[in-house]
Amino acid sequence: MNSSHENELTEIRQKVKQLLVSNLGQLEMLGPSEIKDDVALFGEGLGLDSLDALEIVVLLKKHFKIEIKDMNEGREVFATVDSLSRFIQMNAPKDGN
Amino acid sequence: MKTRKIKVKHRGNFLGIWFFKLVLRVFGLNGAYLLLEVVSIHYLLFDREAVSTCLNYIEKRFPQSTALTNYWHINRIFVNQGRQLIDRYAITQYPDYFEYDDIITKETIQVLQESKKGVVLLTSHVGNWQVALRKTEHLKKDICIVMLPEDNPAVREFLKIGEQEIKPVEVIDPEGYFGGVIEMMQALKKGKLVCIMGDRGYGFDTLEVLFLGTPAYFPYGAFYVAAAAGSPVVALLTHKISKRKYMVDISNIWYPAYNSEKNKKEQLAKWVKEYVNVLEAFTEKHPYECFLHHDVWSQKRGFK
Repeated sequence: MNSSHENELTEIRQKVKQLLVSNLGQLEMLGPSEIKDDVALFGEGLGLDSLDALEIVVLLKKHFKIEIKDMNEGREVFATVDSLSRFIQMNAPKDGN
Repeated sequence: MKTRKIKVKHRGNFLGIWFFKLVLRVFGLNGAYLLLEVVSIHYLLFDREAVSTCLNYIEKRFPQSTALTNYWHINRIFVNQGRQLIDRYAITQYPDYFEYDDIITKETIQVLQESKKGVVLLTSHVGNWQVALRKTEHLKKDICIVMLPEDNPAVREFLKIGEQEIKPVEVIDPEGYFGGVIEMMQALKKGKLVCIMGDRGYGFDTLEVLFLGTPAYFPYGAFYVAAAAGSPVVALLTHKISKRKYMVDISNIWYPAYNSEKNKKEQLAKWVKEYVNVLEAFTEKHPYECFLHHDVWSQKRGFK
């Protein structure tokens, strides 16, 4: 994996964390740097719920022009910040941000 | 596709239901209703769970009621609910026997017919919501119902879910991943009508709000989904006005939206409260058509 690819992924992770903290009430007490890349977003990790999942769907559409079309896709993508970021990197339109 | 063992919850055994159907065919609605009076007394005397769940509502709706009159109220609820179950079956056999009046505004007609962002149909455990749903058939819209697969096989039968001869109704499982919200969003995006029970949590976070004078817990879920999808919410209420006639009320409409990205739940609270006010007004007018058999007053989250 080349360094520009990795740098892009790091930037996306930062943006994802910032968006989560800014938009999900449950995380507003956290700073973006307090969220680890591999911590589970739902369940025993950050404790997000189904309404937060809905919020993430909306954020993906609004900020990255990406749609989650089925729950099986969402299940894998929404596992961690890292999986979410990798999905964005692979699926975001080149000119979209 | 996910599979899971379905545990069916129901009252009445196969033979009992078959007998009701037979009585309906031979003696008509009057015969079936008469049989129901006897069966209702049986449940009143021997089904402690049914009485207890109904009592939650009766004690709030009739605070002055005594232990004895509580039983009278509960019996009326049982009889009314039983009649509507009978009607539900009768409608599938004799669809033209029943008549409908409706309370509907130009705005709701337009929204139901033309909304490109779908419509959240907010149903409740009052009246005969399945009958009300059939009133939407002429709209030629695809319908999704948020419902536990095991919740009520009779509902599936009544609405012909999954059968080929009429347009199938899609079921979204609220116990699926993320509570089915992704499927709800997709359905709304395709312009479908998405039916969500406004008085049942399905694991969604709830708002504490006064209902019949006592703090109760109603979910944000339907309004949260609608706000995210930019879809309107239309309340679907119905009550029986005579043996053969139903009134369907589709006049309450809301457009949940956020003013800011912060405190979204607080922003949605006003619509949840408005819905609860509509529900309370319904129970004031039609106290014996409220079939809330789950305790909205004591379970803060995730009541199912």
